[in-house]
Amino acid sequence: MIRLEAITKLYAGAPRPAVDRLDIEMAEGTTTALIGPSGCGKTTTLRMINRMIEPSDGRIFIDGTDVTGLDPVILRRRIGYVIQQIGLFPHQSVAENIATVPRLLGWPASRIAARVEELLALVGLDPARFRDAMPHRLSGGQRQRVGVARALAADPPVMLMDEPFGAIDPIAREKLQDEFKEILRRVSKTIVMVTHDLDEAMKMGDRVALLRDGRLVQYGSPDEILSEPADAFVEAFVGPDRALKRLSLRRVDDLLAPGEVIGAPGIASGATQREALARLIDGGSEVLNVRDAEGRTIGHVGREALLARPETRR
Amino acid sequence: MLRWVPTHLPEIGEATLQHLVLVVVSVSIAFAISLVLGIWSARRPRLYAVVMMISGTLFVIPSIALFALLIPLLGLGAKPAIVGLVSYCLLALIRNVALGIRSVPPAVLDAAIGMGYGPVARLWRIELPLALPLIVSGVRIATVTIIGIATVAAYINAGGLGTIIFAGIDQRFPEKILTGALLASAMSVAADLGLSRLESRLRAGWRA
Repeated sequence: MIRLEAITKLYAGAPRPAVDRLDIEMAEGTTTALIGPSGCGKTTTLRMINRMIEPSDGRIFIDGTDVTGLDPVILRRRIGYVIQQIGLFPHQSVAENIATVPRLLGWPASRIAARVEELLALVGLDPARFRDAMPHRLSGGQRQRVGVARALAADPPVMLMDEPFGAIDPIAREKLQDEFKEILRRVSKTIVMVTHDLDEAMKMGDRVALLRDGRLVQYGSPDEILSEPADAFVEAFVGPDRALKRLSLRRVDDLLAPGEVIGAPGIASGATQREALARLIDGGSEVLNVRDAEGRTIGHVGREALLARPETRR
Repeated sequence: MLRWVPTHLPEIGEATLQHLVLVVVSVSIAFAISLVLGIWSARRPRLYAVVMMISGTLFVIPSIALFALLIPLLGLGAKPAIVGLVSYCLLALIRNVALGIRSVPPAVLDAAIGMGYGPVARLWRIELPLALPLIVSGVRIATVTIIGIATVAAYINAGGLGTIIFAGIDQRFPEKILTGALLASAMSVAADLGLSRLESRLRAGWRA
């Protein structure tokens, strides 16, 4: 669990604080997306948690310990750190890069080697092929996989991710987001992620914290932010299509009615309601049959159900 | 044509060895000084400017004048010669150490700090290894520079290939002058090639 108490950063000569008495609590094992326009203080907030930036005022607790009094070097070894530019060490192999924090912590070589194999497999890189590769041989997506493996190496309870998909080309980005979401779900970490991409925040975050001018404007589930924007700023930030964005957060399976409708087009189970709506418009149809991975119909979803305003999920 | 060389091989060998020792000792001492000053000044622009100004001033003093000026302080022989040669190495070495440290990409530094590298471990395991090609390049420039200058050190009795050249001048004996000059040039070329190769091998490991 991470708790920020009245955390403030005032840079010398700046007219107003970059982060202004921010209070926020992030529950254990959840992902919190920090989002907001540029200059809102989201990156400053993230970097104060591992004290890459020293707060001017306020306190930060990780699992009940006030980290503002700890040795920052020791603190950082217990916090995973992933950045947009990745920052792999170019003179070290993939395995050496991943071994960074375990080596700093003085793990025995055999334990490090085993951990490297395990992590390469976790992030979907074949250990035999990638263990000894040098970073400049890798694609952007492969590099960030190594970046995440490196951050996870010593199994830190907390992970900080600063625009982790920012350097990945748009085509590979969505796939990598899906994979990272699955990886992060499996390792169950308390994650704080900075992004400027609303869709990414909604997709990756269990909770979304919207910042403006160093202050917290709204903090809630993606669905809350979209269905009940706190003020005109949030409403403008999430955009006029927020009702459609909410459909992206929901699966057709949530609206499943029993039985197959003969002659209706099909949609895969697990598809979003937004995709289902698009399919309906496209096919000029009233109903879609929902099919499982084997192609069996498990029920249907109708237009009325898709168009009804859903309950807010908190 | 070759009358003197075949009968004086041991003398030539000794002068070559002395020359090599003067150069290696001077570059080594200068390297140690430059590592400290280069690392210290790399991220301190004002200090760097002062260090560059001093080492730049030393570099432009004519070598024969510098050696002569050192005689009242250190006498004759290898000692003042080494002091003088060290001072000619500093500009290239300090500059390249600092450039090397500054060439480390900011993201690499940010990741290293963010993962819990302390300042000393970061320097040894991240910054210096990445600065190495530029540092080797500085060693190469300094070595090639002082192999030539070291011939002048014979003027203050420091030995080396300059002894043969000066004797040739005194005795109007072109074969001696040519022998000394060619050996010094060969030494320069060998140092240049060897260190260039080391430099590119270091780079090849991690740059596409």
